[in-house]
Amino acid sequence: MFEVHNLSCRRGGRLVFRTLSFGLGAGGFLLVNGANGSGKSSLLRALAGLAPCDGVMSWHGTNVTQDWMAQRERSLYIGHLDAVKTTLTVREHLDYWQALRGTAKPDQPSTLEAFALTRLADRAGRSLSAGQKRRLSLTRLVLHDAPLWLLDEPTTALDRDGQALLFDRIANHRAKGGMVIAASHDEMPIKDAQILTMPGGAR
Amino acid sequence: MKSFFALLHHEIKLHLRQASDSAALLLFFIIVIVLMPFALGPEPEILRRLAPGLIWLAALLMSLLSLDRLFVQDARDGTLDIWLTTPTPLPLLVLAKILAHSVLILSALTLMMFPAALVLGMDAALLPVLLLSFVLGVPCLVFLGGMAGAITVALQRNPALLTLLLIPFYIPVLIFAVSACDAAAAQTSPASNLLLLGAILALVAPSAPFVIAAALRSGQG
Repeated sequence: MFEVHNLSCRRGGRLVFRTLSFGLGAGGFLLVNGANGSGKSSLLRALAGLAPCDGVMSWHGTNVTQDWMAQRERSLYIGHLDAVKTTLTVREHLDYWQALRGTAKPDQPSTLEAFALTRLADRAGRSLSAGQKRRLSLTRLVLHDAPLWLLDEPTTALDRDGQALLFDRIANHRAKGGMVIAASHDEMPIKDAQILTMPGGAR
Repeated sequence: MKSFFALLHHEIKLHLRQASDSAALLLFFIIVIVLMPFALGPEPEILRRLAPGLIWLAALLMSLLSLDRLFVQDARDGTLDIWLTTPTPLPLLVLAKILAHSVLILSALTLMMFPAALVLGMDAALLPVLLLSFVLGVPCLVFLGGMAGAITVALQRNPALLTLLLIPFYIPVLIFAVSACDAAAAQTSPASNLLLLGAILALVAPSAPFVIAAALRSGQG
């Protein structure tokens, strides 16, 4: 159970959102929508510990803000930047990300296959299209094992097949009791999704 | 520990892949050295006497130019977000990146030191002291540069701010390094100056990764 109570966030002196509250159970999916500038990205960054915020966050009753290290272990944040290096190949990205996270070596062929990247395994980052970069970035969902996924606009630049792969992954993750919080403008064919609409916009 | 070496390996690979950038840095170093005789006049005596200082000045400018690769690029492409959200301690990631950068700058300088000494007619007996001053001084420059880089990322300012922030901190390193070579040229012991360089390194190396990590975290918001 991941609960957020009265969360407020300021950015550059401006109040981006205030007094947001929601709760998410095992296998839950929260779709965050709202206008441009309503603070969807800021919310996800706050939940990942990237942006300072006021309020209470708790994970199965333990206070998140007192132990960010534990929050980093249990969550996986994928922002709207793909973190793809122009000079590394697809395969090397997996190695690099895995070294950064410091977890056991994953099964590479199946990780690549999860987002249909097997054919591109030896291509350098600079020769990938936007959608291919996005898919590479999303392989981190398979590469790491974290119960809480924080996804900022995950479907951007993905084609229909890429989106289908992503939704498969999400369904799979939820079936195992994982939670997903995703910000998106797109309709997502997700079963029993909770919806959080960010109030306001260009305030 | 094993994971630290894996990180180091990846950071070195990332640096090496930017071959054209690295070549540009080496070329910059050589051009600065080659221009010196034109700027100062071709008298061999003057050039020989100034050689260690000129070589160090070129090295310092080269390391300033390369700082864009520390954190600024990572912030731009989103890798920094991964750094900040992994459970791996941030100072450890920072240390791996700085060490990789130092090793590469040092190996480039070790390579270019010989042609530079040749062009300026430097006494070959000074080469070991020069090398030693690089080994102690260059990591200082990179650690300090990393701090400034992290601060510019945090403030989301132009990397040109880097240069302004750094110059005052680079000056002591430059003074002690060049004094060590001058002492050796005057047939006296360079030990005291090298020890002072070592002292700067001993001060900066253990603290910088934590300062950099704190700066990178504070920049998010």
